[in-house]
Amino acid sequence: MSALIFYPTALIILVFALITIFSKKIVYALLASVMVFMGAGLIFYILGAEYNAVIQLTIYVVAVPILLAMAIMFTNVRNEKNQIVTGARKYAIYIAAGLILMSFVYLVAIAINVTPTAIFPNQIADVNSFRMFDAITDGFFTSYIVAFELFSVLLLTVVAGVSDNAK
Amino acid sequence: MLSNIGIYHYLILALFLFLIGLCGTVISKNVIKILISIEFMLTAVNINLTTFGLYCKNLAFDGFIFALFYIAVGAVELAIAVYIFYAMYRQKQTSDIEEYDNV
Amino acid sequence: MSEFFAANLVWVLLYPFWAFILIGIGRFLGVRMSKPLLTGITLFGSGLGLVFSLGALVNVFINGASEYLCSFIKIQKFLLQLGVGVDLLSMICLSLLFFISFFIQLYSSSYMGSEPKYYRYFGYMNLFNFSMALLLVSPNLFQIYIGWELVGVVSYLLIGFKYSNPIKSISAVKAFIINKIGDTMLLGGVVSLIYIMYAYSTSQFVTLDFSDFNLISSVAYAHTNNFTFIVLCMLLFAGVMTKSAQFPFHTWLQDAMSAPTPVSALIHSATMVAAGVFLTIRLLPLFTMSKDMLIFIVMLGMFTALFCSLCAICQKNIKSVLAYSTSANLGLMLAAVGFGNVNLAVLFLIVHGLIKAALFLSYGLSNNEYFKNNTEEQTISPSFIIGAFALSGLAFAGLNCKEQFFLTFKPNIFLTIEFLLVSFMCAVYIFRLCCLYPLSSNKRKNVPEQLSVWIFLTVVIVSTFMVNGSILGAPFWIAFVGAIVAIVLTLRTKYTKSGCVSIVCEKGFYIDRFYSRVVFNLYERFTSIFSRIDIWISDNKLLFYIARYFVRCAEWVEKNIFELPVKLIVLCLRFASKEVEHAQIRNIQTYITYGALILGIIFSAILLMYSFIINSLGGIG
Repeated sequence: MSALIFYPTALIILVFALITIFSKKIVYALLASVMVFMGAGLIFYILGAEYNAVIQLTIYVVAVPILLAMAIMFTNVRNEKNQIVTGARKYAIYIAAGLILMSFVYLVAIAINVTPTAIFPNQIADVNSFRMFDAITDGFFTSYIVAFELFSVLLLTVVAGVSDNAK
Repeated sequence: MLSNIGIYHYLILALFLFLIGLCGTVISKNVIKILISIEFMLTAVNINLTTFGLYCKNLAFDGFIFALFYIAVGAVELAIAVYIFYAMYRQKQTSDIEEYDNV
Repeated sequence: MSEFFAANLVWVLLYPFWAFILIGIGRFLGVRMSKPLLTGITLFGSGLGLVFSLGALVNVFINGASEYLCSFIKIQKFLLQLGVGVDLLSMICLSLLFFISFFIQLYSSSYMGSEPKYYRYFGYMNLFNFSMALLLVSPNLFQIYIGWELVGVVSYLLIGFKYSNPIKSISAVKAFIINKIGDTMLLGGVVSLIYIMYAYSTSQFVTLDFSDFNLISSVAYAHTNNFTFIVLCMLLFAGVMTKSAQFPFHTWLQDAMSAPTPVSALIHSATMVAAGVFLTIRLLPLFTMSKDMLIFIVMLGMFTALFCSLCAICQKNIKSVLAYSTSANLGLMLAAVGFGNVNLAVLFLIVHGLIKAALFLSYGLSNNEYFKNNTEEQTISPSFIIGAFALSGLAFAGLNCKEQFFLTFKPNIFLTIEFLLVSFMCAVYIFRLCCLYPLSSNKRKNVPEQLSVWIFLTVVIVSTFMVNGSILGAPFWIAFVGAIVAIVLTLRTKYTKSGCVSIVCEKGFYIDRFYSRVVFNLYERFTSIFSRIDIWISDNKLLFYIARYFVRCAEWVEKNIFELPVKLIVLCLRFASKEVEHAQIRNIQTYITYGALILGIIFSAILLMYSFIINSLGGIG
């Protein structure tokens, strides 16, 4: 069943990501990127991370596009033309991406035979919604409490900085 | 065969998404498009983290927690970036990144 | 061989959904698919579905019922499964769905040919096929609810297909709202049933599978008192009443006729409205527990049949006559289900679906919707008259069904009289149409359209010989008399403009106006009370001063206490950012490019070295 969802979703993600970076109109790029983030949320869901999927949907499908849409609306970005660079830099990054892609695919092709001991490629952890929530809340409030607090401080800082400078 | 989706399927998908984001960061001129591309890279990393959180038993869902942190980082980064973009736009009246050479 | 069809049915049923997504995404990307390609995609899905559902039907006869499920939601012991339940009823209905939708899509390919939003129409058709199939093959009540909602949405989209016309878009909204009322009640019924199962039974029953619905209904009956049980059944049955356009909610079906004619034929007469009968048959174990409920179903069905037949006699528009007739015939089916004769209900469902599809399509042959929808311009084509014979019970499969109905209702004299009255009126309204409007040769001479109409009629005629029943009993003679009366009266008086009774009937006994004036008015009164309370509170000076005082206090606290740390942080950051400013670089994109390039080279070099070393050592694994 997850194959049935995975392949179309992966296709949607990649196709819309390509549309995003190659489209001439910035609004279309934004809309296509929403599809990509939604697809990523679906991938989280079939991985069993339901909480992550919900957070992904609320932040990346709702909040982030609205923020970017605000930025587009307040400025005159829409009417600018020629939004893709020309020149050697473009081909250099394509070559780099190709190299990285080939090396990682090669790595996977090797790793199918030689598996690291900590990973069980065909053996999924027993995912149960309640167990997952338990684990996540435990993680937030015991092992990663410092990181959690730091993030709150970071968020506070951002809110403070932006609200101060926006005056 | 079709029903067997393993760890490598997710990893390859994340790799592709990351590379698309990387290319997008470099080839586009528009600042907002660059921001979206950076978000693509973050999403790809999130997919990786979640996949490892699911497939490595001794991690005990730590991957999921890190993915949540990452989402928060992405949102914060975007908010600041959009703010900086807006401040720059008021000065330069353009969204071309090459004009933004003195922040 | 036949297990193959049953096991792979799920892929075939998912195909229309992916076709819908494909068409939708294709439009988003600006890909213009050609019309033959769109038609081909859609027809392929329906044809494949027809073949596979017939194969699965054969499998049911050979190997018995089977289920192909996958888990959907798992919360501790609660495991909800979606999938395909292959049994006799679902496969019969599925074959009917795909058969009718195949030929109606063929018909649409030329009928809607000049339509600029052709792609959208076929996308919706695919979505309808998917959602209706989802409803019909569902193994539990949850999946039925999902399909139920989806079907309502598609119906809304297709009624309002020409949304630039305000009348059509208003009828779409009306159909959607009335269906929504029923859907909400159905959801309430499902949730209460789950609650009872949670409280009084094992977790196996919580998912409301139809395979153990007998036990579920006995548990529900044992642990509720009589009143609660009736309320539960009524909540579930309200969904049926709205979807099948039964008495208090039948008004949406007349307005739904503003959809394109093939849509009316497919959705609003043959398949979607029959979903109510389907659900009633599925829930019959529950309804059988209470005798009052069964009596209510029979009474409601018969009353709707009588009422809608009466309304149909005085309609001026052919399509609204057919709409009222659909409500009436669905009432007959529900009465048969309530009487316990499920076979007859399913038989009449199939026969009625085919006849109604043929009638609507032959209406579309001789009338073009793109002309003005004027009453005088409507005409009748020859195939319509053959359909009229079948519908009224004068000949063909309709005759056999009416005979069976007569035999079923024979024990109860009251019901028998009522049924004979209904079939009399049925003959009257359908033959009145045939005499009232001129017979015309077809305005549209396209092959696919003619072909699909005649195929439906052929199936109706051929199936006469497969259904055994006594011939020429009381219903035949009643219908015969009705036809004669209709022909004589219509030819002599042309009773389109007669007394006040016919006006009352034509307006459907003013039920629509009752809804729009009285109910809406009451609703407005009710809300105005709350708005007055609101105004009273907001005009109150004392409350206003108290609130302002508190706001000022809060403002002071925020300014002087909460903002302090923020200001401190801002100062620190300002200091830090001045330091960092010097480290800025020019044109970061070039740096990213160099970084990625170097990284790629390093990665590939390391991997090449790694593989070289492994190869030289003789390899691992």
